[in-house]
Amino acid sequence: MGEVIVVTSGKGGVGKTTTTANIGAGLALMGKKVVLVDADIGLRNLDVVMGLENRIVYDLVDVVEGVCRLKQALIKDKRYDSLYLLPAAQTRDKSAVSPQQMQDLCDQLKEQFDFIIIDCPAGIEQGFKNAIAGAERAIVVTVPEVSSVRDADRIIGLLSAHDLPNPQLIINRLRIDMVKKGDMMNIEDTMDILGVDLLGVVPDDESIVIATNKGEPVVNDNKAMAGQAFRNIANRILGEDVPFMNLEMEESFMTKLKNLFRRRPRH
Amino acid sequence: MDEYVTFKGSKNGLHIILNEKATFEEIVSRLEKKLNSAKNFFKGCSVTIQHGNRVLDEDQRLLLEDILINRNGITDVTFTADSSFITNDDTSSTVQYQPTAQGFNAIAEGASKFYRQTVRNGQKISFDGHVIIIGDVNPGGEISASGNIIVIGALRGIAHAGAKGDRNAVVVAFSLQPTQLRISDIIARSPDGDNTKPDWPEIAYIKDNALVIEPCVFPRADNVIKI
Repeated sequence: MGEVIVVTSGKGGVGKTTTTANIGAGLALMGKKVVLVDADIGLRNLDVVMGLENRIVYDLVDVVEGVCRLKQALIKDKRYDSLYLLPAAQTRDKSAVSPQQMQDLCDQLKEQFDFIIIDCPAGIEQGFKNAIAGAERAIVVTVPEVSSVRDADRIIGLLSAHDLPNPQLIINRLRIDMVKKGDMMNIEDTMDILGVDLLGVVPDDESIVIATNKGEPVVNDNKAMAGQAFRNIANRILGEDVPFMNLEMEESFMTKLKNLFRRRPRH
Repeated sequence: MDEYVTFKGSKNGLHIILNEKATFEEIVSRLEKKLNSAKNFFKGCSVTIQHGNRVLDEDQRLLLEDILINRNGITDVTFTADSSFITNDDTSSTVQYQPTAQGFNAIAEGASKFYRQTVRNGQKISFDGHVIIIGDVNPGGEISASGNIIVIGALRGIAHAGAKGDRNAVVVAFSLQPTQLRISDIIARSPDGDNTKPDWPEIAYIKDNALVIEPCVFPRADNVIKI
């Protein structure tokens, strides 16, 4: 039996979809059978981030309404054989699916996959309720900004009200140079407020932007720090005890390098 | 100069108009010449001879009947003084346009829906007939038509022509870069990582059970794509 994990945040634009894609690809990289479910009906993005948009024929709503069989709507990833996507409908809205239908769908998927990862829409309305209906485990994504942390706190409260009491946190888009200058909330501040387990910290990395625009998960990229961060997160989801990587060291090395060039005298 | 004998066709048969000024002998020789040049062509026709103000005596009538009926196989001959050319059917002289089988046979006519707006992500236009978009179709936008789809702009979303199973449907766009293209039951997707954009209009249709895309060239004498 597989495990259903929902990736949520409350606030939009913090990286839920990117996180979903990369955790899924990371788990597939470790040989697990994974399906990503886009619960953001009407504003789907996961297919675009995965570079699978052009393969969509049937979607989640078609499955729920019985237009097609589940197998027909599942899209196999082009890189990993054990990774699948169940896309959302784009021309419908959140009311097209009920929480009960989502739960039934998750139960069906659990029979075939090791992990079912649900990309939750922003907000706390129907879409959120649908996305968490079948979930057994929750991952909350936040960026180190007060507004995002505030929304994450609200979401953690709502999750515990829906029988998901111990969500794990991913701090996304952390800039260690700004933290050092005191311009950005640090990890401790954030953990202090939210009081949940930390699953991982993903540094702000321009390779994410490049990978996303190419429709490729960044876990593929061995050189990118964000890729390493997501591989670590995938390992932690599997229960391994992976130490948090030292973002600072890497950063200071880069800074040193930059300073080296900057200080080179011009003649 | 006026013809001595004029042939005109109508739904009711052949009209032969006799020149009033010519002599009867001239008319007979010209008539025989014309009929001989089109041997058996008028066989089985019924003929109305419009002699106008000319007065034909009994012998002349018999001679004309003899030429037409006995020598050219015409079934019956009537004489009238009415000089106007009468047809009961106004369209008898207009030629109906028939698409030729050259190239391929697209659906040539039917109900159409015009949409003068950009079709954006999440919007879907469905119509039982042809759909013409004067604007772009963005990624995530979808057009579904039982007939042809024409996009006067860039097609970047999904287009499904012949949605009710008509394999003769086509998709034409000024810039054809769809995420997915469907005609009838055939689905094609854009190649992964291929960003080449054509600078010319293109047409997609089914050929030998496969979806093919070709430049949509405007009709010229030697290079015609019939829509």
